[in-house]
Amino acid sequence: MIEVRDVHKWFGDLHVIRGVSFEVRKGEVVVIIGPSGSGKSTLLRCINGLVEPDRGEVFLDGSRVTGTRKGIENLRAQVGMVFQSFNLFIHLTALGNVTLGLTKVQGMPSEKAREVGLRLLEKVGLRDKAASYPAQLSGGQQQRVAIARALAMDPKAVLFDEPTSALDPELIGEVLEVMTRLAQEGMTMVVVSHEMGFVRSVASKVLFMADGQILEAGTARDVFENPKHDRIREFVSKVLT
Amino acid sequence: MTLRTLWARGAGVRRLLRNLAAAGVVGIAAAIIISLAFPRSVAFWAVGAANTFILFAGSAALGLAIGFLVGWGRSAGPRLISWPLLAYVEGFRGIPRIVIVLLAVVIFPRIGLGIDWAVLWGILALGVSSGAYQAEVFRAGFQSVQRGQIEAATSLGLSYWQTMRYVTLPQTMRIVLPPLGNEWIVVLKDTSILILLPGFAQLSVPDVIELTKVAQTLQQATFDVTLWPVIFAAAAAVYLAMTLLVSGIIQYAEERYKVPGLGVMAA
Repeated sequence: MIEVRDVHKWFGDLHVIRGVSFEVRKGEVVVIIGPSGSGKSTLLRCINGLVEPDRGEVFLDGSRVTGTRKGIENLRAQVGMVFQSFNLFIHLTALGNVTLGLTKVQGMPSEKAREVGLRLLEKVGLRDKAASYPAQLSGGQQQRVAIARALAMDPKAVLFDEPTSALDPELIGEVLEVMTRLAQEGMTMVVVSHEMGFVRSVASKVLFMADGQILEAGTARDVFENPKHDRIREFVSKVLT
Repeated sequence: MTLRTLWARGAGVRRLLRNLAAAGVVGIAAAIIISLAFPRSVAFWAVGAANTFILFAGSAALGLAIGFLVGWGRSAGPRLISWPLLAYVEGFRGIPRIVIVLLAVVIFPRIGLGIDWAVLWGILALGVSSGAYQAEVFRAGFQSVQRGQIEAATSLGLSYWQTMRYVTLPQTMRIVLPPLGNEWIVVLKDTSILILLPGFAQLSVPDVIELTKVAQTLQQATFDVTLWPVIFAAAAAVYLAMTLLVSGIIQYAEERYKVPGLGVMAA
């Protein structure tokens, strides 16, 4: 469904993504792990065009999206994104956040959008918070609203950029639970995460990234238990304890 | 609609009504003083107040338009345009408004805008001056919008203009309204500088007689020195009534763009 082919990205002299290729098939949950600064978030942003790759290509269902405005718009309409810092629109209610894309991008009538929005808030367990503003919600609730916002667009896939890293430990569970349910329903997902329990239980494929490259790719079991690189072994032992 | 139902419409409406009431009290006091002490000058004052308001509305609106565009260009535009914009802001912030108005008075007649356009001279001079300050206000507003907000809008598929309309601007309004109100009130009072505009000497152009000119003219025609403070107190009261009105409108708008739960201090 999504194919990343030899993507490179420089920030000034810094070569942050050094030729990354991988494929995400329909219904797969691909998890990207790796030390901080290894380019995981940038890679995710390259996929939906928030960051434009300097070299290489991204394909969605076989058609190229990089470089063409139309392609990127097409991809954004079909691939949702969930951010580490939630990025809910601070001036809109939870429901307003979920329906903005529906009414303005998809042109859905506001009554219908309201219905869809409430259904999605229900799905993440926050129907009763529809009228609350982001500043009135906990971090975990905000992130669940953000997931509902991404799902509202009826995406083919959702990208998660460290969705639980900014959360207090006791709030991580509620977000992971929503994500796990989503994975079980067959949603195609690309997730940057270090939540090993989550990775083990839902990842169809794990990519280990370091220094802008994918050092190893395989099932969670392959990567965690029989890593080929010392760096991965070292990383895994640190994160797993 | 009764006052009670209006009052219940929220804090913004209440603040507007409160300021309207204060403006009414001050304005009526001024009207009483003027009609008692100088009964023959009442019409003169009314024209002066109306002209002051026109000069203010024109200058503030021009400054708003310039300020929005320049502030936006400075915060989001390419470097190529940011240099001339910076020069404009630094330039006009650095020149006293009186000097800008004097420059306008001597330059505009030479470039084809004759004395019949004196109102326009005043509005252009004050508006271009105010635009420099309002530009900085808008720059602060645009820069205060978190990058993640734009990224979230972009990732939903909103276009640049949709993001501007539905995400950036509503958030910017929250930030810019209080300092914009400040600047508008300054501009309102600074219309008194337009006393320097010609017009009164040429009775053919009576339009430019603004409030301060009315007061000064009346003073010069009044032989009883003890009445002079009354004249300027009356002018002061009319300005105060107008600034209270503007301030009330700003506070109403501020309340409208307030976000529940958001703010440095608990709301």
